[in-house]
Formats: sequence, C-alpha cells, structure tokens
Amino acid sequence: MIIQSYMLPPKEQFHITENYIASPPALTIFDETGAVWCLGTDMQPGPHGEYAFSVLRNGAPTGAVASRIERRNGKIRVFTVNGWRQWTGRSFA
Amino acid sequence: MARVYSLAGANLTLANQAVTLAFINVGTTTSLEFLRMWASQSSSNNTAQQRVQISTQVSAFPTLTSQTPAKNWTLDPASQIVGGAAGAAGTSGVNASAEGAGAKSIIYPDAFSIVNGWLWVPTPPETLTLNASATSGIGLHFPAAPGSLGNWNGGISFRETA
Repeated sequence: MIIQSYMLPPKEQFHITENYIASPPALTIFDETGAVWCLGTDMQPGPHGEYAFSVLRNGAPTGAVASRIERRNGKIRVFTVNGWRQWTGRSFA
Repeated sequence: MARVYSLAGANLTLANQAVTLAFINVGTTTSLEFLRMWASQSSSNNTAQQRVQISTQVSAFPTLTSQTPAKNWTLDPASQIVGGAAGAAGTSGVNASAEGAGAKSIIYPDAFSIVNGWLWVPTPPETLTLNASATSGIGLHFPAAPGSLGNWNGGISFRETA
C-alpha cells in the first residue's frame, strides 16, 4: 500500500474535524487526540457495492476495512460490510 | 488490485490563478480507469470553500511540473505513463504554471472545505475511463485560485487496462 503525505499527521496545522464530517468526500478526519484518519489505497469489495479500503490511523492500518469514515458525537466510526463500527481507542467494535 | 498507479503532487505552491493540480494524458496503447482523486492543504486551520473540477482537455495542454506515476504495488511493472511537462500523450505532471488553450470539458464539479480536504472515490459503475488514443487528458483542476496558495497536495490514482 502506498502512503501519501496527507495520510500522516501534518506539521503545519492542528484542528479537530467537525461532527458529521465523513470521508469521502472529506479527505481526512482529525480526532481529539490529533490522530488523522483516512482511507488507504488497497481496494476491496465493500458494503452496498462501494469500494472499501483499509482504515488508516496516522498512516497505519487499524485492521478495519470500510467504505466510509465518519466523526459523530466525538467518536470515529466506519461503515463496513458488517455495518457501522465505532473506534474504542484500540480497535473497532 | 494490480497495475494501479498514483500521480501525486505534494506540498505544492500554486500559482495565483486557476490551476491544474494533476494531469494525465492517455497514451496510444493502454486505456486508463480513474479510481481516486484527492486534494488537501496543510497551511491553514481556517475553513474556506474551494471549487474543484475533474475535467478533460484536448489539443493544447497545461504546462506542468513533470511527475511520473508511482506504483501502488511493488511487484507491478512501471506505469506506461511517464513524466512530462507539456501534457503530451502518454505523459503526466502536476502543478500547472499555465493552463493551455485546449478546451476543458467538466465531468465532475464539486467544492470542499479546505480544512477537510477532498476525496473522490467513485462506486465501481461510476469510474471514469480514458481509452487508448483518446487524444485527451484528464485533470484535477481548481477553477479559481485558493486563498492560501502554499502547501497543497493533490493526486490521481488510476488503473491501466488493456
């Protein structure tokens, strides 16, 4: 998997992404810890016929494969073939 | 997925005008299926809206900084597309300094908040394809200059097909 610069935490800025922002169409999502979340480049079959990709946190795979990442009520959640899964701080459940 | 390549421009300083972030002109032997495009910046924490377009261009192409697509998978052969500054057939580049006189056809216009960036990932039936010998290029284009010109990233991922 190729790692682009946007997948890694930036040096120049720090902000927390607003609630209800989803990727795509947003490229990245920043949480309260400063972690940057995005979709990787390894295309796999996803929910509802969409493409799905590895979910990256600071450029590293989390183990989840999803077509969408969303920040809602301060939580990161992803849309997988098994439905929505929420980040617990260590993994998606 | 094999034979997928990414043309990426990182930390670009854009000209203060409408600008093409990334541009690929299809060659004569291999068709290209476009799977992903993205744009983001890392210089401002202040939200602002930025228009973006996926467009094709014919005849006279942008003047670019030459950039060769990178392999997404290390075992793949090198891309049939090579870096080029003139936007000619079979070449690619980033961060246009001039747009060229060729007509642009807008395929997908959109807008985004610069603090969130922009990612286009079509569902499979919606992918865009440029057939070999199409004498046409595809660009990721900002039709108006962003308020902050520095530290932009943008790119295009594509698959080479027979």
